[in-house]
Amino acid sequence: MRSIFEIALNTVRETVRNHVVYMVLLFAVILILLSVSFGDWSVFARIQVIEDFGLATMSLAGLLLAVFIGVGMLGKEISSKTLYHALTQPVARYQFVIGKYAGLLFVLALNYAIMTLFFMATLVYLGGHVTAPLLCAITCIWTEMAVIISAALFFSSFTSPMLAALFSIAFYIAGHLNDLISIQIASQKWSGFPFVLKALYYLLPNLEHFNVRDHVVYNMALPRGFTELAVAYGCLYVALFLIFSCVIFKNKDL
Amino acid sequence: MRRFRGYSLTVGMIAAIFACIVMLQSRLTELSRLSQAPQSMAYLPESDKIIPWFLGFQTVFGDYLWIRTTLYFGGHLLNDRQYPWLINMVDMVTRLNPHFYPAYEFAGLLIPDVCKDLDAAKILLQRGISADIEKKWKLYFYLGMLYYKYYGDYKNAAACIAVAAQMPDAPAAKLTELATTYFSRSHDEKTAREFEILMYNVSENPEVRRYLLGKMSRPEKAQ
Amino acid sequence: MNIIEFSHVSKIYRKGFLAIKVPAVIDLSFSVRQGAITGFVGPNGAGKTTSLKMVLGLTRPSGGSIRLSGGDPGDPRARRDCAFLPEQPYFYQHLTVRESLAFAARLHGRAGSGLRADIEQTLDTVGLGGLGKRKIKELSKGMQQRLAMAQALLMHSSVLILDEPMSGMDPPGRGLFRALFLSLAARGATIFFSTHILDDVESLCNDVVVLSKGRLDYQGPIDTLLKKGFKGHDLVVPRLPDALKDGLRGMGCDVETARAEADRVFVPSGKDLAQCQRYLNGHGMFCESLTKRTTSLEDVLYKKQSG
Repeated sequence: MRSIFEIALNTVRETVRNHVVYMVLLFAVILILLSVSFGDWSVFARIQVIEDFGLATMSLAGLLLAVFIGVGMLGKEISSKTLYHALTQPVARYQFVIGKYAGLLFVLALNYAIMTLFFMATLVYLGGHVTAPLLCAITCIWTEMAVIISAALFFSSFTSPMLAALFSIAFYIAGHLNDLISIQIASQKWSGFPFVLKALYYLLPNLEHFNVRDHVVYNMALPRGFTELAVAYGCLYVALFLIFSCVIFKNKDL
Repeated sequence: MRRFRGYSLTVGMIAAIFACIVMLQSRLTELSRLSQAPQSMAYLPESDKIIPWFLGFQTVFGDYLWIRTTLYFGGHLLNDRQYPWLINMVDMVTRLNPHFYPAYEFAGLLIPDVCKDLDAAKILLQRGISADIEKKWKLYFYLGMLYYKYYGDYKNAAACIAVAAQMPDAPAAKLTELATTYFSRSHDEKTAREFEILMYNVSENPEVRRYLLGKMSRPEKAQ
Repeated sequence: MNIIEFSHVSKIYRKGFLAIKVPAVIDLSFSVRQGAITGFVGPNGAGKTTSLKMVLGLTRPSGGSIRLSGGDPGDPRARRDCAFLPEQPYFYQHLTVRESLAFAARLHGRAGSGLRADIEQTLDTVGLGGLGKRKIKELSKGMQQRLAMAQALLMHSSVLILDEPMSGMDPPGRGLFRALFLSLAARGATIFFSTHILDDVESLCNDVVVLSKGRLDYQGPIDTLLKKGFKGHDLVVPRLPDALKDGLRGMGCDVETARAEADRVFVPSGKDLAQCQRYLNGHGMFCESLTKRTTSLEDVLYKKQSG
């Protein structure tokens, strides 16, 4: 556990000293401020537009962080061989992988905390309200990004950073298009391979389950227990990707 | 032996996680379906094919498109007063953002006048009515006014306004009066009387009850 | 007791789209004694770095087995008393010198208030005193190598595995490293290092492991290897008459002119030096100097490898 903590701490230090994090945070803050203008242009729906844009900005910022930093977590360390510094100590490879992930997750949580505070301050200043469903939406967004980062880590354990970035983006797109697969299953157009489609439907995480923005913005009630189930769902995928990453990394020649 | 145990443990964990994922996935999909609005007719291809491509940001695109719509309308209002794309834009906004009330209100109030397309306005209002939004009584009201003013269909107008009158937050007194008036003009006295009795029993508004009592006291006109 | 044991170890890489097999190490078996300084030599591409990576668990062998401190190199516990200095120091560039050492120390399980003082003392030992706050990326290659050595000293590791530790170092740095090696060895540490600087091997090592094209060429004490380089004796004598030269040549010696007034008589190893001396003395010729003629380790190694 101590090794995992030390590696996580080192990762936090490295990420915090990386300018990309500040750029992404600045980008998110600017977009939230811009959403105020968009809200003003919108007739009758100012607060709704601001809430929608704000949540979308946070989602996009998390994706950028996952792609820019997450994919380099292992790949960059392997190519620059800095992981020799840790792996020649009495540290197991799985501890290294989990430590890297934990560090980046902490940085992501920190970023989201800052974005959330800024977003809520903007909302309250403009006459909106901070509601429990809004916090649920932010929690779901954070969980989605935790899944994306774990996927980025998995891809970076066996490919170059560039390919891992492409795979991560493709994974994000595929996760949001997962509903199309269920539509295809229902339409029975692929009558020859329904089990293939069903397997694909369950293998790929359905990232739409983390999208509760319209419920929040338009004051629609979330089904009871939905947020907790979505977070549990995300945690399971994180665990899955971490296990795969550890298995692949364990057998990798460095 | 130790390596075999290690591999077995890993495979077992992966299998257990997958089993939990399948269960949660099914439950979440079920819960998501419960809170979705049913689709209605549209000018564009089915939204369930388009919306996934927005990767969860369809409401954001809808908001942006709404801004563009208002700018488009305002620009043409000051110029040629021709709005060839207005219906398409409002339609797309409501497709992307089914709960966006201002777009439906715009459709009900302005599209019949400026675009002269009554059917489009009717479809858009019906879509709004089928979505789960606030101030739904207004959409029923607008639909009723559409039937009354443009279609000359008193019966349907009365029916819509009658429904509006029963909705929460609606000005029940005024709407009840309007509904009964339209029922009278439609010469459907039977429905009118049934509506009056229903409203009298259901309404907690004393003004509504007073008005309805007065109406019901008058003898029914012969059919 | 052997700290490192290679037993019929092979490593085959697969390269390219067709996954062509490229053997890096073939049936390698050797061991490193506890408490010895062992040199690991061989030409470029012999498999030295691959072997060192396998010892540390960074790469898995394709066949055979490796033991490090009695355990499997993939087990973190086997590396508990181990320190590794790679050829190119791979530090996290975003860290300062002090942070880097503290990170490594904490991974090793060291913590507490005494760690900071230990770090400062260790930095002084390797000549980096006062540079604790400097970022790693601001250090030169030689300074980073000193930092790597500082890391090994800080852990009080009993096994040091080094990949060309003195390449690119200035003479004072090399002198410092040599002194550190000797002092660590005196305290019972096991040092196993690969190098191309054969002077260091000759002057520091007890044992040597020689690799060539992935295979073991020699393993054993350095003295034994150097003895194989002994050629014979050179005697410098006053100018010899032709008859004496012929007599000496008949005894299997070689005679050549050393300078204007002197000749050099080479008595090959295997020939009787005393007999040659008696022959010369009997004709009134006495040696001005007597020296051994040996080949250097470089000559021994490259003669072996070129067959």
